Amino acid sequence: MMKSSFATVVLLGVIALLIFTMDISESRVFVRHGNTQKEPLEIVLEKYICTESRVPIVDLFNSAQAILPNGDTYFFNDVGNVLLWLARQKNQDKIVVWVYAQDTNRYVLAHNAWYSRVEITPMGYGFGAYEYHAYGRADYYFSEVQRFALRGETLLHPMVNALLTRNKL
Amino acid sequence: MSIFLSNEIIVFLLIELILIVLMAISQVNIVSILRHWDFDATTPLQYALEKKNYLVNTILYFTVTCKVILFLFFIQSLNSLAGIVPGAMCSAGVVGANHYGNALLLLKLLLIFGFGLWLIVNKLDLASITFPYLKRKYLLFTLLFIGVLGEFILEILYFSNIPLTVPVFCCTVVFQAPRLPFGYTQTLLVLFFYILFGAILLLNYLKQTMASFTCNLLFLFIAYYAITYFFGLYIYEMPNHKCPYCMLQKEYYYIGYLIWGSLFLGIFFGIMPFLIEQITQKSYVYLLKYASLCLIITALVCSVYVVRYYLMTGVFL
Repeated sequence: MMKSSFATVVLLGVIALLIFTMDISESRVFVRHGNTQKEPLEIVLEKYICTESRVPIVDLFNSAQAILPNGDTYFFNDVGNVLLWLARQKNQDKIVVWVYAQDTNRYVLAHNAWYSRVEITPMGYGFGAYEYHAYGRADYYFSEVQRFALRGETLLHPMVNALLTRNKL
Repeated sequence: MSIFLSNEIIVFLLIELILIVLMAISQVNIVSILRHWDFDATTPLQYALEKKNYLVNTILYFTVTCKVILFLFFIQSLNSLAGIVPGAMCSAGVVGANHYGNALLLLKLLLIFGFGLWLIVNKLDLASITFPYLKRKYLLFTLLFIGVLGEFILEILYFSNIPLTVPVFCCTVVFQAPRLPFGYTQTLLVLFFYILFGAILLLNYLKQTMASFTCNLLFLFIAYYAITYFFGLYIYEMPNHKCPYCMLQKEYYYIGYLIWGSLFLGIFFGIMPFLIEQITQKSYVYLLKYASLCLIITALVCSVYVVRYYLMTGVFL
């Protein structure tokens, strides 16, 4: 009887200790609701999670945001990710996509941005967004890079990689 | 290139299939045994059923033992797949390649525990003259068989969904977390690791099976996180390398097999006495000694790495 009472006390003590020191407040953000203004939101690094690759966003460079018509905002750590994600969505025309421009360090509308294909990006797709046309580097339109992403013609493809880095494509 | 062309996967799935066929044959016989079993009867049917019982036991003993060994082969296969799956540098990338990987691994671990329980109940049943646990033993096996079928479906789904063109993540990315599980800090995790370890040793010494069972289940999760997020850093001697799988590789002298093996064995021996008591209504506390021994090995090996690192460098990571 003594033993089992003592065991119960030990067990309850351990469980209480585990529960009281637990902190289950929100630590990861996958989506933010209510962004009806459809403006880019401030990303808290290492807290916001990329919707496509499911890893924390650790740098604003190459990040992107997609805002659905109902104001739900999704975050991405690589421009390539948002392109692939977007292709699977219904009503693509009604989704507002923002990409982080490397030349002006701010979010610009994805459809208005210029794109490069040879950047070093978190997922290795190589797409970098620019607000202004950088001749010889950021020469591609949104629709073009989206097509490249869907075809798999990114830096991840060994042949495309070789041609792009030697400036033969 | 398909993942199903990999030698390890072909062998693994083929053995799994053979074992499932053997288990299915046993299951058919089990149904007839469960329906007609009457130990007090002296009919030819009962005589035939008893002979059938021995046959089924032999088949199951073989298949269950194979399943336990196959688990190790599965882990080894994942390691070898890391060379094929782009981006993966150890099993972490391969397991995390799709949504099925972690669920499959957890199911496999639970089934191993279930098979271990079945082997012990089977041993107790055969040791008695009247087969007192026969029905419970076979009901337990039926549950395990359903689990094995689910596991096989999950394996097919898992292997067929491993991408070979899109890169997966290496372990550093997979276990990169803004905050540790349940909001615990590294210090708290290590503290809980040792508190729970001490509590289990105490409860095992007092032979309190239910309390030990609960503490062991808690320890399984706390130890997993503590090893991944704290002790692993000292094994790899890198502050950012958080991975439960890399320590299984030869670069770390396969120490992961000792750490995880002793942890899982310790947990297994720790939870079994309570479950066996529930099934057989008999005390089976001597396993608690083995539980303590295995967990002491786990804690010792983990602690040695931390102490060694501190002695060598004079700092903690």
